[in-house]
Amino acid sequence: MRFKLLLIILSSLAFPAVAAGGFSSSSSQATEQAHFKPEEIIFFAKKVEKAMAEKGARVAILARMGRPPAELPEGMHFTHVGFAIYSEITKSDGQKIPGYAIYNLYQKDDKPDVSNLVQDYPVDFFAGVAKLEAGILIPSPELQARLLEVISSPTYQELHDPNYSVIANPFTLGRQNCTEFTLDVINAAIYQTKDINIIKANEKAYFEAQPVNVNPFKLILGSMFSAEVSTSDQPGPPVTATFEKLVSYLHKYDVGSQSLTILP
Amino acid sequence: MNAKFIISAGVAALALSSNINAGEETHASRAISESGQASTHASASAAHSIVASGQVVSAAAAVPLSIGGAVLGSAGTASTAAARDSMRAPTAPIGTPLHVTDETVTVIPPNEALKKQRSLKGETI
Repeated sequence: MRFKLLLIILSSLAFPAVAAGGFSSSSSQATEQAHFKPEEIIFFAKKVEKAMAEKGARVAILARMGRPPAELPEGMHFTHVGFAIYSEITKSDGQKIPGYAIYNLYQKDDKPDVSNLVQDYPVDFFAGVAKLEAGILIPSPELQARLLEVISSPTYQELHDPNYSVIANPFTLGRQNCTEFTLDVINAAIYQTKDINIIKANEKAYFEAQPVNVNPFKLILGSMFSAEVSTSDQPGPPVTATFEKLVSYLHKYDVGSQSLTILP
Repeated sequence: MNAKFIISAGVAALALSSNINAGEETHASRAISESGQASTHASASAAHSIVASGQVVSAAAAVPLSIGGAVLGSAGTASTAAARDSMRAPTAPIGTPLHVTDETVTVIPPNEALKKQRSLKGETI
């Protein structure tokens, strides 16, 4: 018992934000605590939804802040991203209403180093956030149309690698997090391919990853004691994909893409 | 022996982290504290609070509305029934403002879904 407690403390020291949850966690997980009143979350989630609708976004990349920014490594701000898709939603009483559904890669509750593809709604997406701030990246109309095709095809599932690492390297295979998966789907749409080798080659050539600015010793401890921290897919200095880097990537190569931040 | 090694590693980690960024220790301590809280209040997850508020409605399904009014299959699954109901789907080009419901929808918790009457579709008995 004392030994287990020691391991938890050490992993928290090594990677505090990871040990406390808040990255690609589903809001239904026990580790995802409510930091705001339900009405605050509901109002904010609807505000985000309406902002995307006002822009006419059929597909947007949505980001949330699962941890306070001060607890995150340098260069990292948002902790989870997913696709927001304008949808026809069928309520449990059969009534059909228009709104956004969110397509996520979430860590499993009982196995944080394994992920699932889960569809939920904006209020679920923001339920456990540490700060009410949303990042929205709206691709160009052409890329939105291509993304709709990919997300509605078997390719979407085929691009998912369930082996999760919170700092997954976007240029290599073997580990994947929500942002790398989002990047892979975006590039499957851009290059109209489901060949992961073509996707990775182009990401290596054109996508700029975020260096993981964490003390190497802390990183070793994190990978030893936190299941969701792995360096197995990091052949050199660790790098990962972030929402901010996705924004830079599309702003550079997808003419007509736009990004905005929503606050309460 | 292992425990001794880990304790030593922990002390070294503490020493190293304080050398590099003193501010991080404060956050680490807070994270440990929050981690403990998460275990203590395991039953009060964020999603449960939203559902318990009674201000959301449950959604059974969502199907992407594509450009031109067609309904696409969702995440690789066919949705012919939803396609038949797509007459109200917007036909505006991408970029034209869209209408979203004022209602707030959420996923259905498994325990609530189990309470719903079982569908007899496809059953052999």
